[in-house]
Amino acid sequence: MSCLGFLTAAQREALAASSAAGAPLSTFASPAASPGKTRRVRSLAGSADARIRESAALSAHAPHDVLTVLAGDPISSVRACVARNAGAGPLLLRRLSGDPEAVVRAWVAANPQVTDDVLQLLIGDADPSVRAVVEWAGRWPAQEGGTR
Amino acid sequence: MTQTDVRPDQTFRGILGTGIEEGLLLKPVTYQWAMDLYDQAVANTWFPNEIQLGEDLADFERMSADERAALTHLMSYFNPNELLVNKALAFGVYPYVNAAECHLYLAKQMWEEANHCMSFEYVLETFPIDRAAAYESHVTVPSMAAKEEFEVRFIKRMTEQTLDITTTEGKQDFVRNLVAYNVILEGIWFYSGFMVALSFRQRNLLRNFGSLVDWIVRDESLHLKFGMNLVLTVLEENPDVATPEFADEIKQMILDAVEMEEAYNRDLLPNGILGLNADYINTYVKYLADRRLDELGFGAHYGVANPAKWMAAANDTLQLVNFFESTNTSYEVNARQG
Repeated sequence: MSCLGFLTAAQREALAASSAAGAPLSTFASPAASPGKTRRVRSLAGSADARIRESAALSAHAPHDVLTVLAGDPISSVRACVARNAGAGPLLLRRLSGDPEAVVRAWVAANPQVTDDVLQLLIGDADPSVRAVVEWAGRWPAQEGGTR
Repeated sequence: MTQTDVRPDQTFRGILGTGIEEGLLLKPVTYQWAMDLYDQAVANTWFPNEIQLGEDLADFERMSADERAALTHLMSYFNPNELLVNKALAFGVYPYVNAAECHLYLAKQMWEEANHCMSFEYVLETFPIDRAAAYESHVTVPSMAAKEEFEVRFIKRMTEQTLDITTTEGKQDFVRNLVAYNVILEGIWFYSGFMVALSFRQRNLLRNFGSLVDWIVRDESLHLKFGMNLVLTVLEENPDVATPEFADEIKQMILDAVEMEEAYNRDLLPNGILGLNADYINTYVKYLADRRLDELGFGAHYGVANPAKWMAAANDTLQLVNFFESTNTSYEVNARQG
């Protein structure tokens, strides 16, 4: 028995239409940031494993209070992940611009939401790698709201 | 291995096996490294639309024809090859691994490969890239097709009925496929492409695309760890596998792969862009190959320094420290000269 026999003409037509050229293959949408997803990020942020806390600090769905706690994490790689997160916000980025570790301050300078006034704070940073990132950040076109 | 490590459904037979009814109980976990990597992978879960690629469109408009061609070339290579990794896992790894914790990780990795494929699809949807040309290149550009053919050969062997994983020859086939897709495809060829992809951001272009690649690299660093741990575990548990002849063959596979990547990168950057040229990337490829050879216990072969210190991996992800050291006048001149 041929498998073709399972398909009606209408089904074949529907199949062909569903893969018509030109239509986007996907909406690329992810599940919404449900309360469950937020709870999951909170749980990850409390992990004893710094690598797991890094993931929470990078999450696009990390609530601000979670990022605030992680900005004070004893492990610098976790704080660096907060500094990388585009949702960290200006206050946290300003706080992290004073971090004792250069890698954290460098990620603050690289954050697309960093404001010009914070970049100004870092322009004279003692660490050359931070100054290099500030120079690079300054080459991005300025956005509305003074971010880079 | 102690008796308490043995799962109640089986006597310990090692990480390899094909019994469908075996490896169905997770506890006790025999390979804790696989469980740890699974936890990290789950914590890393991300989706392409969390990155606002559309904000990079203005950059794309001002990019040169060579820069756009390089981006298209990268998409042509990455998109099908993410799926090729899944074929290597589905046909060549998952069926021959007996530990439930490894199956958990492999399942997550396969979703990640699909997510990466859709991420590159998102790039193709966002930028005005000639999709037909991008889709076609992986079979019409000889240097790209050669890399794909290299991988397919090893995957095909894993699907042949004559393969018996209980024999030394079967275990060697398993390791060959692992080296081909994990050490070479993911550990050398992909990283070479990531370096080119991230060089756009380094030159103040395609910042959000760079963020997308950051997430992919974060996943890939775990894939590499898993694959390397799997290779080393199989070798440790099966001392019959690593004969001197087999060791020579594995090393030669990696050296051949470097040659293929050199030809590919000459096609990728015929004129040089963004301070990069093929020679610069190929030195990075040799540096990567040395690292992989070292991890497999061979020691470095090329003995080259990393020309792209800004790609240095620390804490298994890209760091910005040294990010800008690559502003090196000599190679910029070379790139301009092609």
